[in-house]
Amino acid sequence: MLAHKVTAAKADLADPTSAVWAKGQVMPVSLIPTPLVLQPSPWLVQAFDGRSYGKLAAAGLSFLHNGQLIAARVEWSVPTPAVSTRGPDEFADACAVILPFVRDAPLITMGSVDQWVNMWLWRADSVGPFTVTAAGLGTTQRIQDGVLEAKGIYRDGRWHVAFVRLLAPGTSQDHVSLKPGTPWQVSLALWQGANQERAGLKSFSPGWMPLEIA
Amino acid sequence: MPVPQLDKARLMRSERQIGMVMDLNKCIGCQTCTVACKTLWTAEQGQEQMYWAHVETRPGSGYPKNALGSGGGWTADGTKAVAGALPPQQAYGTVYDFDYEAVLFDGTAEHLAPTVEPTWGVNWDEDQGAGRHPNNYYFYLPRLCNHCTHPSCVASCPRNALYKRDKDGIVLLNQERCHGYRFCLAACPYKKIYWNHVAQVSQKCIFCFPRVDQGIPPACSAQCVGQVRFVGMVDDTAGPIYQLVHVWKVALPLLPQHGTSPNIYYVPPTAPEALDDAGRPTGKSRIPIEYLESLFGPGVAPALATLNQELGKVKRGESSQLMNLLHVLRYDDLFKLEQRPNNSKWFGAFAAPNGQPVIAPEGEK
Repeated sequence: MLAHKVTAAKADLADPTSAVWAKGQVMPVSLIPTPLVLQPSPWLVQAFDGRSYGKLAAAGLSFLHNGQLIAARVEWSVPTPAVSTRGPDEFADACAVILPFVRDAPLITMGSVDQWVNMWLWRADSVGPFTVTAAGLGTTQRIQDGVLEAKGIYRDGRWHVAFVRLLAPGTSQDHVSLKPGTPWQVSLALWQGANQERAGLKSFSPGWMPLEIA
Repeated sequence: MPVPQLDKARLMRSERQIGMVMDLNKCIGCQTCTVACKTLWTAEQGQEQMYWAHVETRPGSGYPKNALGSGGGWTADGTKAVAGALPPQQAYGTVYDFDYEAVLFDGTAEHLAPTVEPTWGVNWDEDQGAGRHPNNYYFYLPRLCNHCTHPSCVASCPRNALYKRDKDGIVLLNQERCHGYRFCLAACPYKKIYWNHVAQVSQKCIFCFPRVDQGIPPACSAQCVGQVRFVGMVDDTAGPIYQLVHVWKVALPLLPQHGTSPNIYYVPPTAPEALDDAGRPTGKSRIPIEYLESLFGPGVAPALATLNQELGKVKRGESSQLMNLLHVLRYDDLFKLEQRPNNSKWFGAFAAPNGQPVIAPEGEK
């Protein structure tokens, strides 16, 4: 997957409907359900055995950058958008772009103590976006420090979500730094709110995909 | 920065266990416990329908509606998880206000009324009961988190936000670790964890641990006008919990079949004899024992037999140690906490918003 360099303002990169995204190379991404047995909850592993989740199997992912900012755009189909978390049984549609802090960090366990992973998390209930760090299952930490911005639009049966962030947000431990010319890796996760998907109950692309930053 | 991984097995254990016994024969459904808890802990936005302690009427559908039939917990032997459903919003009813403005200021309405039509709430089906006159019946069931010994909520949380406090087994929910996934709510067979949609976290009864740490009983228990609630350590052989649960065996857990080993116990309600068509006593309790067993398990019949036997002693003018324990002649006998309070702490705990003590001044106690 190639993140083309474009001349674009932040507002355009952050808008999934902006014409600038026509310059993005959309990579079709295949997703599978996360393995139930790996969920860090013995009760959950047993109680959710046989329950269907992670059925969002396809998405489109593209990247752009303008030399200073990097942006990702995710789109996927979902028949009924779930946008509320008001009720105790309501969960919102969500997507996350996942980046390793170090190449080949273990994706299936959301990193490890020595090899963290980073997530850009967007939720359809307008809570967030969050920058997430993880050092293994059950260790995710969400922050909102203003570095990450995101916007999602549901149109024609599909979610279109754009994230934008500085390529190199500084010395913070919470953000992976990216650099043009340095190949990196990316993965994707989707949650279908109408199916009460949350936490590790999701679909994800099971391996790191190469990310070239032009 | 990621949060550290924690040992689930360690979070599930505690060195000791605090517990509560509620004598249902004394509960009058006044909801003083409910209000004491609500005003102390859950008066924020997003907590409108959150009642860490409440009283519902049985037979009835409870709160949230049909909570006790929504799954969760474990198989009865505690070995295998049982899936549970998340209650829908309607199971809690709607949040509403009253039309004070229209009645008191605008004059556009005569009687105070909710601004929307309520559909459900705490103790919604009060006094509905069951049975036909003269054998109709109902009783009150106060409920709170059971601070279970084998808590499915703690086991369910992928974030390890829930844990049992080492020194007394109080189940707490770390608000910093919680990400609002609500597996705990699905896993709790009592539905005593609540979703705060404003704070986007789950919240639950904390057994008033800041009070307990000072030797002061939980607010629901301290304020109970019926002196229904005993509080103490479950393993304290001289304490009321051990005596009622393990010695007299008259206090029983709610829905023991869910395998969580609750630490809130109930003395089941005794009832007058049912009458036949001619109005003669039938020798059977007006509250069907099958119904009580559906709530409190197979220990109901022996517990009621013991209660009636001991009650008989008192009726004959004899002395009953059990009845003395249950009658509670001294308020302090309800509670046997590890930390003994000093009076200043008591008065601090019961101070009204203006700082004035709301119970008898020191020296009159």
